[in-house]
Formats: sequence, C-alpha cells, structure tokens
Amino acid sequence: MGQDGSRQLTPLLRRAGRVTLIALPLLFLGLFFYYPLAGLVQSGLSSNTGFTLERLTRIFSDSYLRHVLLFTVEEALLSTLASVALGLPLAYLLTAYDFPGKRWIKSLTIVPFALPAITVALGFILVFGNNGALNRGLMALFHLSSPPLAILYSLQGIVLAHAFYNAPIVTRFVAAAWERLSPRYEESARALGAPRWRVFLNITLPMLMPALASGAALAFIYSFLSFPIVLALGGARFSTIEVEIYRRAIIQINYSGAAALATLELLIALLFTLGYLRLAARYARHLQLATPRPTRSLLTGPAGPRRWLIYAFIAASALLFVAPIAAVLLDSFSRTWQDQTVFTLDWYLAIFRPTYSSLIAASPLQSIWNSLSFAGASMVIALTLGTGLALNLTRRRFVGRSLLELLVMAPLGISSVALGLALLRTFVRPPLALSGHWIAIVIAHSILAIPFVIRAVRPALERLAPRLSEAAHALGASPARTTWEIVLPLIRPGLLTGAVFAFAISIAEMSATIMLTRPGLLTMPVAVYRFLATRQFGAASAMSVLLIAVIALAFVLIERSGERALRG
Amino acid sequence: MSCIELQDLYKRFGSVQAVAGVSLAVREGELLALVGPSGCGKTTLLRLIAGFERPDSGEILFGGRSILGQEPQQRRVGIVFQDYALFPHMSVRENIAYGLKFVPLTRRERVARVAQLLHLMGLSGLERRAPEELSAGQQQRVALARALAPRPRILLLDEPLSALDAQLRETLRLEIKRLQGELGVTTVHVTHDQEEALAIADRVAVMQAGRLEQLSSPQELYHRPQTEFVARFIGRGNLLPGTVVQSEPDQLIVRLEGATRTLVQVSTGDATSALPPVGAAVRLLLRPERISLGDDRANRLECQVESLEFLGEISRLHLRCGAQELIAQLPSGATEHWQQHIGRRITLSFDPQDVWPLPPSS
Repeated sequence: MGQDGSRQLTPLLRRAGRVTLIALPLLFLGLFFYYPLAGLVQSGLSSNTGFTLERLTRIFSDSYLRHVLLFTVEEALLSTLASVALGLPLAYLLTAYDFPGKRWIKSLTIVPFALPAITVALGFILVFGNNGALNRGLMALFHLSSPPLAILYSLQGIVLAHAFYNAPIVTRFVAAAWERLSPRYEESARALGAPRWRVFLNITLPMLMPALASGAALAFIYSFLSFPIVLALGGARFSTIEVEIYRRAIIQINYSGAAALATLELLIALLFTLGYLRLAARYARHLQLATPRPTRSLLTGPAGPRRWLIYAFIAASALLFVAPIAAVLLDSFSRTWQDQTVFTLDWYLAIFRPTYSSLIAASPLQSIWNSLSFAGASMVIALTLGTGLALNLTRRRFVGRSLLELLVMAPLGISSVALGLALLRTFVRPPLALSGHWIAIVIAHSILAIPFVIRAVRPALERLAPRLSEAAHALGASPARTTWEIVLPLIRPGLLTGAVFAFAISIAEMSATIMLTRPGLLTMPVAVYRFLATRQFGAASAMSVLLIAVIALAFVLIERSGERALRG
Repeated sequence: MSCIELQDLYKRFGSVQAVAGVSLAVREGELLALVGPSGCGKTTLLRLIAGFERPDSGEILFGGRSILGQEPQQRRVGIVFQDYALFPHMSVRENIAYGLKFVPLTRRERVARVAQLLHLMGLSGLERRAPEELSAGQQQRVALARALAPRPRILLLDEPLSALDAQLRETLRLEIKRLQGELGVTTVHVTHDQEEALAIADRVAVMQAGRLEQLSSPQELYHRPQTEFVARFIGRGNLLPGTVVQSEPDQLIVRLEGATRTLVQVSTGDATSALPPVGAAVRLLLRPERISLGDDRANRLECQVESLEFLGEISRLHLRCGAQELIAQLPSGATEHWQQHIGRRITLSFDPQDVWPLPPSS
C-alpha cells in the first residue's frame, strides 16, 4: 500500500520540484526586475492625465539634455572606434604570430572584464592626470612648467578608458573567429593572383565582419551605458545619460525627471541590444571548424620595419593596459612629501580603520565588511536561482523557451543605474519598502549576476551526456536525486565559475549600488569613488588594490579548480 | 617538354620530414596524379608548388625558370582545395571573376571569360547564387571554374573529390578528366584514392613517407610495380615469396617458398630494370583476376579452397597453398559453382607474363 501511495505522490512531488525550480527565479525577477522597470517606464511615459510622450519629448527640447544625449552617442561611437583600432591589430598579432607570453596575453584579455571600473578610472587619473605619472615624467624630461597633456577630464580621457575596457572584447571576438577561419580562403585568393593587402580587404575582413561587428556593437553598448568611468573622468563638464540620471535622482532628488531619462535610455539600449543579438546570431552561424592556421614567429627572421611597427604597437598597448594598474599599486604604497616619494603602509592602515571617516561618510572597514557580505549573499542567491533556470533552459524543450531565455538574460542589456533607480523608486513605498536595507543592494547585485551564472552553468549542462541521467533513472533514482547526486557533482566546475562570477560582479558593482546605498551600507567601490572625489588618492588606491586582490583571488580559484577538474 | 620540374625537394615541419628528396617532372598538358596514404607528403608537395610553403632545400622550375623567389600570387597556379574554399560572401559569378581582377583584361573580356567558364562547367543560370545554396557537385564545378578563369600555367587539385559520396565522386572524376583533356591544362591531382588516380591520370606518382616510390603510367604501375609498397598500395595482389633459380634476359625461374616447392616461370618481357640474379630472394606479384581456376596455364599450384566472398559484380575465392594465402577473382556468375568447392583441393594456374618479380622489402 505504501508502494501505491508513493507512486501517486512521486509525480506530484516531481511536478512541485520542477515548478519551484522555475517559479522561484521567475518570481524573483518579476518582483525585483520587471515590476520596478515597469514602474519606471510607466512614470516616464505618463503624467497626471495618463499616457503621454511629453516627458520624453521634453528631453529633446531641453538644450542641456540634448547636449548630454549627443555627447553620450559621440563618446560611445568614438570609444567603439578606438576599441576597434586597438582590438583589431591585437587580434591579428594573436592569430598570425607566435611570441613568448602569447598565452599569457590571451588570458589577460579577460582582465579588464574583471576589473571594477572605478579602479580603472583611478588608474587613468594617476597615469594621465595633470599631476599624473605621464605628465610629471614629460615635465621632468623636457623641463616644462605646466603639464603638456590634457587627456583627463576630457573626451579623450573617457574614450581612452573605454578603449581599455572594450578593446579586449573586440580582440576576443575577432581572434576567436580569425583562428577558426580556414586559411584555404586566403590561399585560394593568393593563388588567384591577389596581393596580400587585397586578400585582407576582399577575403579576410569581410569574413571577420560578423565577429568584428558583434564585438564593436558590444563595445558600443558598454560605452553607451558606462557609468563609473564617466562619473570619475568626465569632471563637471562631461556628462552622459547615465551620469545625468544619477545626478537627477541622487543629487537633485528629482525621481520623475530621472525616470523619463532612464526610460529613453532603456529604449535606446534595447534597440542596440536587439541589434547586437542579431549580429551575434549571424556571427555564430559563420563559425567554422578550425583548420590550423600557420603562425609566424615574432622573434626569428629579419627585423624589418614591419616588425618594429609591431613592437611599437605592443609597447603602446602595454602602456595603456598595464600602466593604470601599476600606478594604482605604486600609489597605494607611497606618499609624496616635500617632493620626495617614500614607501608607506599608511593608506592600508587608514582603510582598515573602524572609525567614521567624514570623507566617505562611513568607516572604511565597514565598507570592506559590507562588500564581502553583500557579495557572499548575492552569490548564494544568484547561484541558486541561476542554476535552477539553467537546468530548465537546457534539459527540456517547451513552448516559450526562447522567450524565457530572453526574459532571464535581459539584465545583461540593462543599464545598472537605471536598474538602481527603478529599485529605489519601488523600495521607497509599500509593498516592497526595502529602502535603506542591505537586502536592497543584494537584490540588485543578484539580478545583475543571474545571467552570468546561467552562462557559466549552461555549457557544463550541455556537455553532460543525457545518457548519464537516463542511466540513473533506469537504476531507479528519482529526478531530484539524479539532479542532486549525478548532475550537480558533474557540473561542479560550471557551478564554481558561476559562483565566482556572481561574487566578482557583486563586489565590483558600483552603478546600482550608488543609487541604493545609505550611510551604513557603503561598499568598497563606492568608497573608492568617494575617496577619489575628495582627492584622497592614496586611500582610494589602497582600497582599489584590496578590491582587485579579492577579485583576482576569486578568479585564481576558478583557474585552479578548472585545472583540477581537467586532470581529475 | 616538361612544364614543371621539382628537383630534390626537402621540407620538414618540426620533427616530421614531410618531403624527403623528391624529384619529378610534370609534362606539358598531362594530368599527373599524386597518390599515397595520408601523411605521405603529397599535399605538402602541392603546397610547395603553389608557394604556400617554402622548401628547406631543392628547386622548383616553371618552364625552366626557378619560381622559388615568387609569392603564390605571382606563380599563376590554379588551386582547388578539398573543401573548395569558395568565398562565402561572394556569388558564383564573383567567385569565378575574382582571379580576373589581377590579370590585365578589359571589362568586356572579363565578362566574356566568366560567361565562357559558366557555360563550360554547366553552371549557367547559377551565377547569382551564393556558394552555400549550391550542391556539393556544383560547388566543385565553381571551384574549378574559379581556378581556371585566369588561365593558370598549372592546375593543382588537392583531393577535390574526397568530400563527396561515392557515386558523385565517380561522375565528377570523369568530368575532371574530360575537362582537363579538352583544355589541355597541365594538372597535378592529389588523392589518397588509388582507384581514382588510375582512372583519370596520364601518369601516377606514388609517394610514401615523403619519398617518391614510383612514377609511371597507370598500367605500368599496376602490372609492374617497382616496390612492394606500390604493389600493395595499388590494387589487390598476392605476393608469393621465392628464390630465383634461373635468370635469363626475358625470363626467370623462381622456386616458391614453403611446402609447395613449385617452380614458377616468370616472363619479364621488355622490362628495363635490372633482373634479379640467381639465388636472389624475390616476391612474385600475382593479381587475383589473372588466376585461372584450372590447369590450362603454364604455372600450376595446388590449393585448398577456404572460403568465398560474394561482392556483387565479382566474387573472391580465398585459397591456401601451404602457408601461403591467395585470393582469386571470379565472375559472379561462377559463384554457385565454386560454393560447392569450399574445403576441397583444386589446381590453379597462371601465365608467365601475368606474374611480376619484386625485390623483397628490406
């Protein structure tokens, strides 16, 4: 009889399990992502009388806002151009040449992705600022009385910092496609009589175009939605839509004005994201089976002008990529006093002080503790919900699967400032009055991290042979036990990657956080920004180094466990 | 007159000696097949001719002049790869016309040349299609048309048939042969399929481990292989080990090894290579289709019938003479008759001109 009872019960439980697996994440996203965004858009598109486009049209009639809009598009376009100009040659070098440290450089292209934007902004100020390393060096070298390069607090500074971030994206996309491009196409063209440059122009470039366009589109979206870099490097003169939303909401406490701007931004970003997705789909279609491509050594053979050009390019990009990080590191350990730079640990002592600092309106130690605990909590939430979604997205085919996928991956294309604003508006009044509570920040971080968890877990699930689950079922294991005892242990590397990504995203996040933060809820990136804004570069550097070290540690963990998984 | 001459070419990739001292001459207007197992260096040889690889040493002459200093785009070679490498972002017409951009022709001449090739290859009406909209056979024709358009000095075919199914492969290889004959374009055709090489080539070069084993006409290669490798690689054959007991200018007498102690008469005809002396160990190549299942020929062997394989057009009889296993070929109509002989002893025979002596492999 017990047999019969459990037989009737099992399908029910099974069903309940499946429903929870998908319902919980959807409820979470619905409550904390779609409901707040809907509220934001509704307030952007309505007035006392109902639906109206008036708030949006008013943005275009305001000459200052028109200027902000134009500047945002301008800096995003120029940043994209700069990223391509830097990323394309780098992709060429990585594909066509062999040189010592190539693998190292290849894996380094992921670094900018992991670096908190505010620390990069700090690095750029320390290197390219009026009082930065580059200007001081040039002044000493040529005996100048004033800084010769006014890169910072200008369009160039913003574009350069965005290139730092996005050129590696272009490189990754293009190099991946280039490595898969069969050399037979280029060889056919050469056998037909085409000189090298014609081969590149007529064959290679068009065939790389889907990858290049995808990379460039992503660079554009990221530059368009970039917040910390513009906030820190733009100074008072340069403002983008993101910065303007922040200013209106937090400094002028003008929620409805900010909401109108955010609505417009969401619409524009949505268009670009859809465009990017189409390009990316085309790019995926063009990926081919890899035929090994011949590579040339950079070190052997005659050293012509071509080679010197390559060395110069490598040196210049190394300066761009390494100098800001190195500057932050050096600055955190040094103090300049009467034209003498001395080694010091003062900055580190300062950031571990538990006492209140009026500069950042909190205690620095508190911000470290906050960041670590928010990141831990976000990691748990994002990993649980993201894995549940990934299991549903991979294992079964059902009507509306692609719609579900779009719904859960949407946070990837959202501006974090707009998300912060939407949550802020929702949390200040019932039914979700979470304003000022740490959970508000953890919710924002979890939402931003869920797509990354899905991206990390899904490939692991897809590689898993369905035979394994079937074998477990055939041996009598229930679906829940199969998931727990067979599937999850086998996708452990994917889970770990997802967890580390979630942790890193949370701890580096500043844009949504700065919208939701309260005096007791300061995080490390916001502390870095406040130190920076009050020109406490030493303390900002020390906090940045700590932040980068924590993230680096997390990524080393992935690397190590990935190796272990491969060996085991 | 030789169109292309390779002189003592060497090429090494890391620890692999891909080409080890190959010399050969391709005659004007001929179709030369380069055949061998995978990894034998045949594709490397092709890439050396095209200029995609540089030899470590040796010389390549086009019409008597060295072309080693020339880039691939200066050599005027036409090449068709295994996967065709049709430019996916160009139409059929654009693919065929691409090489004409680098030849001094007027616009009209170019249009006319493309139209001529479309017609020649039976591609008329497909000129606007994208390569991915074509069947495998059509893609291959486009690849040929593209390679031929700029009138290359030599056409290089790198296993262009190996990606196709068996039936299409046979149709297209006949087409290649017909086209090559009509156009008279000097062609080097790389393949690992010995049957394909025999079917279409004027001469066949067999390669193994980077070396040229033999270069001769298909018939010569089949009936008078110079090495055991060639004998085994080209067609099927029975190799009977033995010792020369008598050596005369036009014939050998060989005592077969093993229990049989049979003497075999070998007619060497007008063979140019040196005949093995008395006492030398040799292997005799006897093709399955040259075995007569009866005692009507000069050389006779006693055998036991082991098994029979029915293959449709033909059947194969597996025989044993002492330790030696033999295969004989039957017309399939005789299958049922021989089915009854399994396990019995029979006498087979063959003519002296149907066996060929090979030096034993070292």
